[in-house]
Amino acid sequence: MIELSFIDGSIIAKGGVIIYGKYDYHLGAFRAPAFRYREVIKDLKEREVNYVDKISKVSEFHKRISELELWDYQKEALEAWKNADRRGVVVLPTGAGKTMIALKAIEDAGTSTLVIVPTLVLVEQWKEKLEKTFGERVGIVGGGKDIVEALTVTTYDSASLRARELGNKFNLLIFDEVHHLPAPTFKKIGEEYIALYRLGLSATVKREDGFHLLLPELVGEKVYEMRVEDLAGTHLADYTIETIHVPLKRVEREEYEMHYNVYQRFIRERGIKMKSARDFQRLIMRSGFDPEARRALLSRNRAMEIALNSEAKISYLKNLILENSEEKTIIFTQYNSMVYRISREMLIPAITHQTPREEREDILRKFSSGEYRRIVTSKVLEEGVDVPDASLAVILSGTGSSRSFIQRLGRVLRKKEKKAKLIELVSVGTVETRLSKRRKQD
Amino acid sequence: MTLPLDLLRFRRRKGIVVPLYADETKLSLAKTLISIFEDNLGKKYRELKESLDSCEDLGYDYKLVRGLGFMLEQRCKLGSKISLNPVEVRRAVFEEVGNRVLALENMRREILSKVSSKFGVDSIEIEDALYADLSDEQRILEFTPPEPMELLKEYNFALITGILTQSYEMELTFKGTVEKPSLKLGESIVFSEGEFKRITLKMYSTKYSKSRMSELEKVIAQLMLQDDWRIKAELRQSGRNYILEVSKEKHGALLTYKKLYQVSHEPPKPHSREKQLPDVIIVEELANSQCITEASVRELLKRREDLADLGSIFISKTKLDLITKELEKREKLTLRTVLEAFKKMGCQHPIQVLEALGYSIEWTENRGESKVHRIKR
Repeated sequence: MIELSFIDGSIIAKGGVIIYGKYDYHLGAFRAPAFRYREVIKDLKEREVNYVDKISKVSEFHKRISELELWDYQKEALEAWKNADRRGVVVLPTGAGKTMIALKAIEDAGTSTLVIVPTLVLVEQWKEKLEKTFGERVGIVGGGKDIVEALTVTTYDSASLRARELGNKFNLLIFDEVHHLPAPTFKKIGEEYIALYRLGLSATVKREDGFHLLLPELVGEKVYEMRVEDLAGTHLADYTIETIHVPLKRVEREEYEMHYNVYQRFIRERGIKMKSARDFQRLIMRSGFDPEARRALLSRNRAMEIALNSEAKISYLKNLILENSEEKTIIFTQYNSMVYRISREMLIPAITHQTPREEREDILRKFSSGEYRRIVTSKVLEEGVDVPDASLAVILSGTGSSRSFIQRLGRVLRKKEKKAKLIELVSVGTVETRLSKRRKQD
Repeated sequence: MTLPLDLLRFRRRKGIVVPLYADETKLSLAKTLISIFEDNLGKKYRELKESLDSCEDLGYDYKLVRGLGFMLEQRCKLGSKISLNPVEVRRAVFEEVGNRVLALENMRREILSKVSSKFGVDSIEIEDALYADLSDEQRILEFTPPEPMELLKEYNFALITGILTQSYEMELTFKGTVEKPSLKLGESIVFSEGEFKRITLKMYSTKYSKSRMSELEKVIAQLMLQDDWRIKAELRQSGRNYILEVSKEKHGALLTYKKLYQVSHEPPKPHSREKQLPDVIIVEELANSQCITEASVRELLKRREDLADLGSIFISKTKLDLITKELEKREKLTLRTVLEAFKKMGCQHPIQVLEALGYSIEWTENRGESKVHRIKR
């Protein structure tokens, strides 16, 4: 007879061997990662081994929400997930109703569920949605709160820190913005919870570091995907993307070239190849002990700053806003300093990570009601905050990340009569043109 | 204070981490940085940062410049002289703008003027207040300059605690008294070994919160108050294990903690659970007395080369040798003879030791005559 128990995020088997188990001499038992629970039980059953399961402390959760009607593609996504043994990742653009699918998945699984989200703001938003939908108390773990209920919402941080205690209490894990999960600090959430059912949601799962390849093991395969262009014009607003090439002013051009040449000379002289993010990481590490590498890196950063924050772009932005004065506009920049500069010069409400929560909510509420017609922000509104609909997104500066681009685009895509517009301003003849191409590749 | 990870300076060589201490060769840099802070008193934090950035071209490692700057920032008091609430000012300005587009500068001036009359101040004050709550806009209201050498020593302390945040296990050896580290840091056992005491600390792999960080600083600062001390820490970096060794003898003169932590010079209370390590340790008992798990006790004890692991107990290898010889030389063993032999050897917990060594006891009414058999080797 094998006795199975849950200790510190692992399955412990006393009295016999289990699949994926390694012998732990201190415990005198086999130890397997918690996320192998499904395989362990399946294997014991197949081998007809007697066992006592003292692992699971999950509870049932049966609540019907029949009034919630899904669109066809949402139904397809839910079915695909169910057919994959209730495991897998659903990829849908922002505004396509991923949350609705998650609510239906909770109803379908009928079991205790932990919703894991990237920010405390999203914890509150999910809690509100779950309470409204199911009419039940919803627990929160994180941000100073520690209430565990059959439906609980937590952050990636807390789910990771508390995996040893919470790991055997939920049978369904919902990962909002699942591309965060494979990060080295959060990967253990996938490993130390026993949950048999797992649903990952994201607008785009691809990570620059390539760790998204871990998702099939931690959550399940990608079971459904719809891209922005599949839903534009039907379930999402139709849209246009326009790239405007803005030349640098003469002084800026000279300064840009001076700095960028320092960087290029260094790369050339040292025979360094810059083909991927990893190559760039190596240069950063090298700059820690090589003064010339450091000088080259600083010069490159300064050149980037000039290209991304050029005066010419700001002048162009003013005209753009004037021409589109009736549009609800979100202006995205790469740097917070630029957010505050625009906010000061054009008296446009700004939202960054430094904006107090109440003020941010006040700005978003007024933007939603139309009292404010424009907001300027950096990366903070890309995800993790329920942003009211806009009809024009202006990317003043950004990285080469396609995820960031898709998330920014998603901010104008909620269904509306008018065509949504995304306009990006790119400094012509600089490295920014490559960034612009790269972010639109996927 | 603890340096952030990205500012730690150390070398790794043959499994050893060597911290790059700031010694007296860095005194001139320390003096320069202190004077920059003094010059920026009353100015905005952003301006201070710009001045500090320029020091990174002085030929020193930028991490050292930033690290010393970080230490000096802890001696600053930042604040704002603006009496208006920036959040309220912003709200008033943005509400006044509403849906309008400020195409011309005079429209902007008009808005600011309207808002300034609402608050009963002039437009410049409104401009100043608009983002006065951002950290970059705060002013350096106070700065307490240290002596340059004192700055370097404080930096070195922060460097060591910074490196120790990456440790998964450390051993603190000292003469004197250091409080048993709180459970925030990890599980620990305190031993006495002659005139020395040793704390073996198995760190939790959780993130360092502010309070956890200050707990680590407190423990290390207390340790450095003792007459003699040594730190041996095991760290894992880039998938490899490394050792960090710091001692009063070699590094004491480079480190200080006094000004920043104001550690009391009164000796801390003696450890409530401090034990002279016995020859025979029952894992379960020790775990209960130290409030940690049995697995952790095993983990901590198995690193001691003088102890033999017998499963439920650990026993000193010398004592084990004696016991084994004593048991093997007798052909027929009774419990009485065994107990007497154990007593002579000064060995506690005879029954548990017998069981751990693979002996069984065939109990009889006369307890002393119970037979002791070997069931395994």
